[in-house]
Amino acid sequence: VEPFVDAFRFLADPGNWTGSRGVLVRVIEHVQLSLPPLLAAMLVAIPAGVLAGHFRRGQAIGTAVANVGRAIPTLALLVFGLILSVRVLGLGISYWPTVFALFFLALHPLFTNSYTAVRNVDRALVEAARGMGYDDRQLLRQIELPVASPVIFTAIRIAAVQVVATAPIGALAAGGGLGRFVIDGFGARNYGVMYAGIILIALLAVVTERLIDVVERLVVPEGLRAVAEDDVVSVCQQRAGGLNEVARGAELARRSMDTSHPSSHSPGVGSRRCLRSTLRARSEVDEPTRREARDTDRPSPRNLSMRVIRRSTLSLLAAVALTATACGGGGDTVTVGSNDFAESRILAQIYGQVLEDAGIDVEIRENIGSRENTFPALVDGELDLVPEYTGNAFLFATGEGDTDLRDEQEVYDALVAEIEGDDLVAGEMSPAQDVDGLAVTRETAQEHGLETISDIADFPGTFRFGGGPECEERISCFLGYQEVYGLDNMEFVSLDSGGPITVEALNAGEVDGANLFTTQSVVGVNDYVLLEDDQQLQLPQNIVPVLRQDVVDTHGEEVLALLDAVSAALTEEDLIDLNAQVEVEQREPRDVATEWLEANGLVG
Amino acid sequence: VSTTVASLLPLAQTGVPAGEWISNNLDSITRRGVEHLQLTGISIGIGLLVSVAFAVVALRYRWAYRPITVATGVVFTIPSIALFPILRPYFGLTATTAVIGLTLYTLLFLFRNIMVGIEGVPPDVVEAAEGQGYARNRLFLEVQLPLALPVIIAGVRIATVTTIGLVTITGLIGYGGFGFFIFDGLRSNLYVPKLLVGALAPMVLALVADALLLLLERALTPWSRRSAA
Repeated sequence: VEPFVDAFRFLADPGNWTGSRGVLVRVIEHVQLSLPPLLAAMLVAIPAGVLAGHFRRGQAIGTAVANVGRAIPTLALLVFGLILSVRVLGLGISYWPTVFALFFLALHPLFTNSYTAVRNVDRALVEAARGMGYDDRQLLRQIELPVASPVIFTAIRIAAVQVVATAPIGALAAGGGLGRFVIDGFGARNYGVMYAGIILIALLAVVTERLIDVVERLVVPEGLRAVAEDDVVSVCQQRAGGLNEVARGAELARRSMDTSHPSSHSPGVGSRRCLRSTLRARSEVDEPTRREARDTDRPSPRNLSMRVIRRSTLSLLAAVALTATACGGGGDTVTVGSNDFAESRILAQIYGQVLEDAGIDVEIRENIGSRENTFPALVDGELDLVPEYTGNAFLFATGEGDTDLRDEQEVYDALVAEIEGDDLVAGEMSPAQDVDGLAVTRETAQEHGLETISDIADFPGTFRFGGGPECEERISCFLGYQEVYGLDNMEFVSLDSGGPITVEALNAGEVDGANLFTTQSVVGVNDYVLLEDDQQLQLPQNIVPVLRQDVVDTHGEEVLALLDAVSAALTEEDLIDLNAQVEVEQREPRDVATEWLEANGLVG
Repeated sequence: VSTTVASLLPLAQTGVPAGEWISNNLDSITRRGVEHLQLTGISIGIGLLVSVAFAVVALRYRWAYRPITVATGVVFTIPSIALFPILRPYFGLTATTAVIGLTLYTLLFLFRNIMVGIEGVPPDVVEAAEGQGYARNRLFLEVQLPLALPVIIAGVRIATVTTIGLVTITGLIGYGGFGFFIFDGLRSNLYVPKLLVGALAPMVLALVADALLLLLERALTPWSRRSAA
């Protein structure tokens, strides 16, 4: 319940509604993301569907669209949008990929339902009109379209609600809109913000549905309106018409689901209406059956049901118990987690493999968000071991306040003392460091004479600064630039943690500067300039394995010895090289880690 | 066509060629595929058990039918990108979160089709069986269930195809099956081979699963084949 309380607290604060990343701006962005693809898809799919339905052609296309449409995951649509926008058309990453994805998403329900709507216009009506000498054009305009319009509006409603409910996936590719609250809240483990985002998306979907109702009332002829809902059902029934008695009810519901919620793999708020109509139709179908069941002395399904209940409850409990133990991962397995950037994944693989080599059961879980995700997961016992950085880990453990400490050993000692209370221990730290840096393109640096971070104060206009969602609230990142450097002209743009989205945004000029890390290969590859940290904002960030005390208790001090050997061997040059292998050459962290361990004689 | 596609894809592409990446990483791709199948299978399995339990309750207590339908329908209206985050505060970054979320999405199809299937068995068939002295259990197992089976399997088909697509979203919490490669590709300089494996493999999987279940449906209902021919 707590997340809901936090969500309402978030929504109740007027400060969260205004500003460049407030609710109002996000709602506008959401509409900007949703409306154009919906309109474009309507322009393409409705005429195509109507014509196909009129000429009764395209059954095969319709079936193919429906089948393939159902099998495409929404994430895959985003992938196609990304490839099209970034790789083929060069339109950037933050807007168009989502628009393309939503366009593809809306095509299917619009086409299938328009087609079905026109195709299912009463044959007698069509024949009569033909007999009276109507040509194709008149038939379409005066008979088929008006009769089919309620169902077409249902299609629009379904597509619109689906688009609004799916637009949040854009947040995975640096898009704006309400999805930002969900993804950022998720990434920062701020459940209040996340739930607030979900509530707002649901509200927006409902508002969309109502708005289309209003438009429908203005457009659809009055005589047809009353039967609009029943029409969806009659469509289902007609399609089920030829089937025998046994399959009828089922086919009815299934077909209605196919037409009303075609993109069934991507749940959205759309299915309610047809669900309702289907239910009504079903209860009508059921009524005689039920009466019959009451009237005859047929055995009620009661006793049978009780037996089945008992049995299925048992098997259900067994299944739940089974999965629970399967998910628990057993007591002795060491679960190594990593954050969602290459270096963390490589380090997790290195730690994991070195333990595995010593005969310990290891499970490696890569790409689990930011520290805001992994560190609490470590405290809770979801994870047993994560690669960390002394300074940031210390700040996080103390609650993200700043510290005056700038000496490597002092920061390490402070970290060890801080995490003791959570039953966590740290291995020895490595001499290798990876520090948050503020990178700009060489052109930006030269054009505005940027050498140090303080120079940004003289940047003309707003300096758009991109970073992972967590960067905004971190003293080592955006928060520090505002509070320590006092850069009031800086605006935060949520991207990813020094990943490809950041690089893409920086190169496309969608941000002026971005949070990158000193061991990242992309800095050298793209010839970026890392601005000097002239106010010593950054703490030392030596790489250090942090693990649960349980692990040492279970597997002995040997675990720490193994990890310490890794820390001692690791250098910054190694890290830059390993990162490049993963980031540039697209090699798997697992393979890169194995090779490094072998080269350093740490396994085998 | 393949040459045009091939000439488009390497645009602004860094990293090894697609073929090389795939052959170098066949075992991780296989691992993710197995994960994909496991998550799908477990979720459909639990979903079936829960739906059968719901169906039994709804057959026993008529008033429960509507609340269950509404509840399973409402669950289905939650956008998938939000569902796993919603469950996260309660179940953490675990397979439990993934399986619960996926299972919830299957209930609408499975419950509805089980109900429709069993209730769709014509009363005269049931009466005829009773007249021949079928006891309740035998009636259920040998008459009602087989006759309801095509409808139930139709539900399983829709649920399976849906679930295979949704598994990709569990990449948000560190699973994802093939979808892991989508999240990975998003973080790897939009490396196209990863993105495409993540996007296309689940589609192929879904179409294959759909076809296999269709075959299963035919095999289990020989009478429908005869009547069709």
